[in-house]
Amino acid sequence: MKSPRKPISRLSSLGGHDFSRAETAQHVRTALAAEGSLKRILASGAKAHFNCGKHAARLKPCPPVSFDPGAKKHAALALLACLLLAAPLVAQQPAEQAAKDAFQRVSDKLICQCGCNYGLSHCPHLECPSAPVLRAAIRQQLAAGKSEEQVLQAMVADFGPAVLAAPPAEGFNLTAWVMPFVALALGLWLAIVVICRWHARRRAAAPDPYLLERYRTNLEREMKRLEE
Amino acid sequence: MDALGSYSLLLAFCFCLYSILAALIGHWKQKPLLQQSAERAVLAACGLVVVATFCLAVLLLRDDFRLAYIASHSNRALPVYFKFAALWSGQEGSLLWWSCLMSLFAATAVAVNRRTHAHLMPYAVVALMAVLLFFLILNNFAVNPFRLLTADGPRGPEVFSPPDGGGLNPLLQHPAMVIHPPMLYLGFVGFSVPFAFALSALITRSKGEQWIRITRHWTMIAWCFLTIGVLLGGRWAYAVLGWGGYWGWDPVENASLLPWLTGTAFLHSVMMQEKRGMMKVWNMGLIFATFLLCIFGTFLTRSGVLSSVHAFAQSAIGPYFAVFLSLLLFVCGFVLLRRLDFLKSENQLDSLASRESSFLFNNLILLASCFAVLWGTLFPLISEAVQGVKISVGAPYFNKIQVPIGLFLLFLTGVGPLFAWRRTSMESLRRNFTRPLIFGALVAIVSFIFGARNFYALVAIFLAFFVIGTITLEFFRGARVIRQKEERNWAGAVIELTRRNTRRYGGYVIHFGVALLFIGFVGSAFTIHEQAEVLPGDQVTVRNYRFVVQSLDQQETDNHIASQARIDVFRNDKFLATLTPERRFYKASGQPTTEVAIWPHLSKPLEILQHPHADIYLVFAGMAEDNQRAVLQIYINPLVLWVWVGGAVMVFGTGIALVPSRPPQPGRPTRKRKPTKERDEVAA
Repeated sequence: MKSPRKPISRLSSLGGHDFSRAETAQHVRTALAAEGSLKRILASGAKAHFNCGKHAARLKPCPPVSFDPGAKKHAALALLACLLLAAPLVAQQPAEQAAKDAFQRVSDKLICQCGCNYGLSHCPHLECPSAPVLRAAIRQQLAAGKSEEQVLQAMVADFGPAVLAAPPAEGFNLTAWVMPFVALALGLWLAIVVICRWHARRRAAAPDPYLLERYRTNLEREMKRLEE
Repeated sequence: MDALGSYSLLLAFCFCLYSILAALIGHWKQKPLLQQSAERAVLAACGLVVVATFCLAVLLLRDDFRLAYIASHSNRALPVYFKFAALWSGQEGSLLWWSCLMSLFAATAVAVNRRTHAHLMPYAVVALMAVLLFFLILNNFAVNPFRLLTADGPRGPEVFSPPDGGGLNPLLQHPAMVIHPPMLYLGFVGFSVPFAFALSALITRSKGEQWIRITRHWTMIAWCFLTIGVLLGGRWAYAVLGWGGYWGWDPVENASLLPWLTGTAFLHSVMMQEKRGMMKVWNMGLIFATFLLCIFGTFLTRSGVLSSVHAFAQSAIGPYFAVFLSLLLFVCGFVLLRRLDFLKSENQLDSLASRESSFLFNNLILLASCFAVLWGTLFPLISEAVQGVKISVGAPYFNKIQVPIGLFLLFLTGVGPLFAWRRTSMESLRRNFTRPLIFGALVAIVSFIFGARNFYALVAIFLAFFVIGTITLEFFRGARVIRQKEERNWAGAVIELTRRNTRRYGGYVIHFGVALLFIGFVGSAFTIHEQAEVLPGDQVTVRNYRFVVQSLDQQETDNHIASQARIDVFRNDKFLATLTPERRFYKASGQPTTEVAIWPHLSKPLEILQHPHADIYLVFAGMAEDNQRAVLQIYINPLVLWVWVGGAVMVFGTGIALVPSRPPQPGRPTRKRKPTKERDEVAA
C-alpha cells in the first residue's frame, strides 16, 4: 500500500528515528576539536545513536544519544580550519586530483572502525560513527602537509594496528605475508620430488601394472562381446 | 504444529542414533536384517526431519509468534516469499534447514546405492548419520527452532504470543537471499556423500576406484551448487550491501570459498585415479579436507569467532562445532594413517610434459590458494593469540596474494587440458598453443591501446583470451573431424562432439566460464567511484556519464518507508535510463538499509545489449548535514556482468558433464572422404 509522495524535508524524522547524519557529524567535529585523539572521539561517539551496520546486522539496540552542549563553537572552528586548509587545493585542478588520489590511496589501506569490517573507502553506512571522522582526519592531515605514510602512522597510533586493512610486513606479522608463499614453495618442492620419483620408477620398472590390468579387462570384455 | 515439529525432531534424533548403532552392530555381527533396518532408519529419520522443517515453514507462514524464532525473524507485513526465506535466515532455522537437506541427501544416497553397493553401505550410513546426528543434537538441545516464548505469569511461566514479530533483517530481504543459502547449503551438504563413501571405502578396504565412480555425480552436483551459492552470495553482496563490489574477502565469504577450492582440486585429481590409478592417498585427503572445510565454513559463519558483514546468526554453538570438527579430524586422520598400505599405488610418469604433471600443478596451486585464504582469514586470531595484538586482514592483503595465484591458475586452465595423458610431444604443444597465444596477446595489446594500464589486468586479459582460444580450437578441431566423417553443419557437429564425450567438453565449457569470470574480475581494476551531495535539478558528471537528479521523494509501504532519488543517466549526452536508488527504513526492525540501483538489470537482455561493458551502480547513502541534499555514491563498475555470465556458463558446463556420454551413432550418412590423422585424436 503506497502513500502519496512526501517532500524531502520530512526525511530527517522518519518514523520518529533519526535518519540524517547531521547531528552525528557535528558531534564528531566538536569532539575532534576538543579532544584531539580520534580514538577518544569514537569512544565518546559511541554514545550517539548510530544505526551502523553492526547494530543493524546483529539486531542489537543502538545506544542512546547524548551530545556535548558546548560543542557548536568547536565545530565552527574546526570547519573553518578545514576550509582554510583545503582552500589552496581548489585553485589548482591537477593538485586537487593529486590530493584526491592520495586520499584514496590512504583510505584504501584503512578499515572503518564502526565494526562493520568494510574498507574505509567502502563503508556504506552513512550514520557510521567512524568513517566520516576518519575521512575528515585523513583529508585534514594530508592537507596539513603530512605524507601518506605519516598519516597512516598517525592512524595506527590512534587506533592500534587493527585500523590497517593489511598487516604491516614486519615482526610477527611478516608471517602473514610469507606463509602462503612458503607453503607454495613447499608444495612445489613436494610436487617436483613426486614427479621425479614417478619418472624414475618408469625408467626402472616394467609396464604400469594398473594399466595392464585395465587393458586386460578391456580385452576380455571385447573378446566376450565378440563371442556373443 | 509446534509440538509435531518438536517431537519429529526428537524422534529423528532417536532414529539417527539407532541407525548408527544398527549399522555398526549389523556389520560386525554380520546380520543383514539389522543392516537393512539401519538403512530404513535413515529414510525414517529423513522423513521426520522433513516433517519438522515443514512444520516450521507452516508456522512461519501462519505468523505464529509464540515461537521465539518466528517472533524474532518474521512479522505480519513481510511478503510471503520472505516469510518462507526466514526459515534459513536465523541460527535455529538455518541449522534445521541444514539437517533437512543433509537428511534428504543421505536418504537419496542410501536409497540409490543400498542394493548395488551393499558392502560399502554400513560405514557410509554410519558416516552420514554421524554428521546428521551432530546437527540434530544442535537442533534438539542447543538451538531448538520450536522454543516457545514464555513469561512469568501468576501460576509460573506461561507461553505468550506478541502481537507482531521483530521482522526479518532488512539486509536479508532480497531475492538472491531467498535462493543463496539453500544453494550454498546444498553444496556444503552435498560433499558429505562423497566423504561418507570415501571413508567407507577406506575402512572396508573396498577394491579399486568404486567409491569414485559412485560419488562422481554427487561431487559434481555438490560442486555446482557450491559454485552457484558462492556466486549468488556475491550477487547479494553487490546488490544489497552497497559498497560497490561483490567480493570483499570477508571471513564468511572466504569460508564458502575454501571448500570450493579443495573441491575443485578434488574434481581434477580424481581423474588421475580414474585414468591412471594414481594419487589415491591424496584424493582421500582432499575429499576429507573438503568436507571438513564445509563444516568449518558453517562454524565460522555461525559461531561469530570472526567479525563479519555476513554474520546474521550467532550464538554459543562454537564449542559444539569445535568438538565435532576435532572428532572428524581425528577419525579421518586415524583411518587414513591406518590404511596407508591399502592406498599404495605404483605410479609412474612417462614424461614430465603430461596431463599428470599439469594436474599436480593444478592441485598445488588450488591448495596454495586455499591455504592462503585460510591463513589470512585466521591470522587475526593467530596474531591475537601469539602477540596479543588485534590486527585486521582485509581485501588489500588477499588481493595482493590471491591475484598472482589466480592468474597462474588461469594459465593452467588454458594449458592443462592440452597436455595428453602420459606424454605430450613438442609438436602437438606447438600446434595447440601458437594460435591461442597470439589471440590472447592481440586482445591484450588492443586493451592496452584502449587505455588499460594495469599490469595484472593486462595479464589476466591475455590469459583469459588464451584460454578461450584454446577451448575454441579444441571444439573446432573435433567438430571438423566429425564434419569430415558425417553430413552435419557446424552446430550439429559441435553438439555431436560434446555428446560423445560430455565430461571432456563439459569441462571445457566450465573452463570457458572461468575465463569469463576472470574477465569480469579484471573490471574491478578500473572501477570509478565518486561521491556527490545533490539537490533536485543538480547534475553530476563522472567521465562521460552525466547524472541528472530529477527528484527526491518519500514513499511508504506496509513493510518500510523509503526515501527515493530519481536520477536520469546520460552517456555521451545520450539518455540511458532513469534510476531510483532508495534508502529504506524498515518499520518492524527499525533498521535503515540502502536499496542500490544497478543498471543494466540482469533480467533485461535489451538493457544488457545496450550497455554490456559496465554497470552503473548508484547508492542513495542518506541525507547530507544540511538535511536538504542527498548523498549519492556513484560507481561505474566495468565488466561486472561477465562475472555472472561466467558463473552461468560454469553451471551450464557442469550440466553437460553430468549427462552420460553417447557413443557415435551408426547409420548416419557418412561422407566418402579419407579419414585424416586427426580422427584418432578425437577417438583418444
